[in-house]
Amino acid sequence: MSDGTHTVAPWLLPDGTLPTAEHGARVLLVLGKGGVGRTTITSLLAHGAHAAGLKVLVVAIDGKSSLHRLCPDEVDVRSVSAGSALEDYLLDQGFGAFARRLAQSGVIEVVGAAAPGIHDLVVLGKVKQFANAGQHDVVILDAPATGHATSMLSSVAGLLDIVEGGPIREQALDVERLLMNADRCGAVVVTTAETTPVNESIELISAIREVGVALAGAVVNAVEPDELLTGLSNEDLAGLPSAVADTIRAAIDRHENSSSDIERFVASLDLKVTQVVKLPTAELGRDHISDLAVAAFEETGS
Amino acid sequence: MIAGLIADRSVVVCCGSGGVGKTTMAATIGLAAAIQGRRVVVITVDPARRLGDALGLEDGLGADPARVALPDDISGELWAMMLDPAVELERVIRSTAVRPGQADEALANPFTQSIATSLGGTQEYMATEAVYRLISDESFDLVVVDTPPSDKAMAVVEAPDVLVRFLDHQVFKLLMGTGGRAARLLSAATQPLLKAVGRVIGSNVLNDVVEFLRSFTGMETSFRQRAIEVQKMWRDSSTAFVLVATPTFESLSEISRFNDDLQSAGISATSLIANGVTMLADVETERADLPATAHEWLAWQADRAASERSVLATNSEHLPEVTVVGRLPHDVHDVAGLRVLADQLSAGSTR
Repeated sequence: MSDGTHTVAPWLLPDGTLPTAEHGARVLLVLGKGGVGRTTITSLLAHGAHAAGLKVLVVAIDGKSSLHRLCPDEVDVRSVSAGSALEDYLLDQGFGAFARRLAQSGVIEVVGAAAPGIHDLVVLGKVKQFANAGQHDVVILDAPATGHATSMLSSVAGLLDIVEGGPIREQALDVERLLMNADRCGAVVVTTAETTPVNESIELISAIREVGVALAGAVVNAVEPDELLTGLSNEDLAGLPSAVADTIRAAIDRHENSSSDIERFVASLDLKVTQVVKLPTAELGRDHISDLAVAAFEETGS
Repeated sequence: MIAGLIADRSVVVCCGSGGVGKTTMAATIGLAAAIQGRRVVVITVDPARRLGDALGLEDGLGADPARVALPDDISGELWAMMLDPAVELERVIRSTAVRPGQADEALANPFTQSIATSLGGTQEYMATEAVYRLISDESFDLVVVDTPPSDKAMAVVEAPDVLVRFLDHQVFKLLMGTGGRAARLLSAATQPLLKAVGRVIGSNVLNDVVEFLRSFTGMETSFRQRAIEVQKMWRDSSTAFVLVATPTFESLSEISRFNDDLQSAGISATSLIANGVTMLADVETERADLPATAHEWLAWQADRAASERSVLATNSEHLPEVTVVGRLPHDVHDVAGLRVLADQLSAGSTR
């Protein structure tokens, strides 16, 4: 980016090499507040990793269809339903039709509440299964919004406290091993250059560190073109209709605020922040994302 | 027209994905109604503290309505509160207990509090209970509900149906030991399976669940009655569902899917707010006295505005009437900022 620091692509292993399916796919968890563009950044990472020659799987929770539209054709997209994940798990464990009965009755929901995080664990268990299947080099999870994402990451530890034995505990231990392995798993935190999202992202980053998951990337999404207005003087604005001049002045203010928000975000991190610009289109498509991915990761040469 | 429903409905439910400005729109609708002289309470179900911030409530929001200070020229009242599922659950338990001491026993169960916050649907059900309580309160003419992001908002609408289904289900009756002979027969078949489920999730967990459910024995009837009344409330003609989206393809697709879900549940949304629309479309950018970069910026705004208009025009045919709210130059953090938005809503600049 403009300061010339090296941007490390999140899909690379900590030693800078590419992950391989044989050694187990690298798992990227894309995390952030609602509305910051997690799905955009998930597909942007898919474009980047695909361009780097990797076999990519993108996992959506609860079937977001836009990932199919935004990712390259060669990228596999799968959907995991958080709601039915536990039911599936019980089916896998040989409970057959009874699992469905339990699910329909709502009892599973009650049990899920009694062991908080059990749904999240089963979702992460599926991601682990995909990552270990030897089919893909990178698995990218379009994770749920911030509040839920932190509880998702801490669900494993929480469950290990509650459940004393049995297959769920085994599953939790397996998932924990994957999450805590910096070669196998990293979080990518997404924010916009606004005060509240940046505050929440800084909180999210410390939560991620507390859980022990490695941070693989940090992205400021939808950066406005307001930098174009720097250096504009009041004289320049004098001849404009007052409403337009006011809007431009407000955009200059907004640019100052968002610059300081970005600075705060950068200061909370020990890795390079990737900035992704907002485009003048209301309908982002695959080609837009592909261009944005090139711009975001061109310096990595990967 | 959104101005019409602000004037005459008794419940307005705001729905939309995270980050579209739903909370701000709920507060705006509340303020617009207060400007018309109505007594309004806005309840947020979203644990984010944005509503308190937008209304300039420095101490944040509590589980009881707090009055928002409004300028003197506004004749109505604006109150705001945040759903506290644990507090709401306690209210419900206390009002439905069937024998002395039962409420205290149910509340003393260590599970009850964790159920209130983590049982899927409980939080949503508590939201419907809170809304039901507020509309029965004579001190308010209008209740504005700020729902959780749209993937959970359907759960708010469906919560009473889910509860009724759960209470009527044989497995529940079996766990409660109230099912009669049929359930006891079922019991013989399911006990080994329950035991097996216990092995998977830990038998301590399952026993706790059963004990928790049994502490509510006898309260099902009134739970059921309330749930049915709440089901009616959502579908009453005095309730309006307002969708909130940003003027992007992605956001409009999401809100369309949500609108389909609402319709399958027998509810038609009344209005769609397109929030944060770029308004600098018609600026003359040929001014020679501006630096090239400023021209570039204005051209960007014009492109974006045109793109938003075309996306709104081509993607909203199955959606309710659109009201456009322009993007404000500054974040809204007080009543004066909200008033600018409220005026835009009342003027109802439709597409």
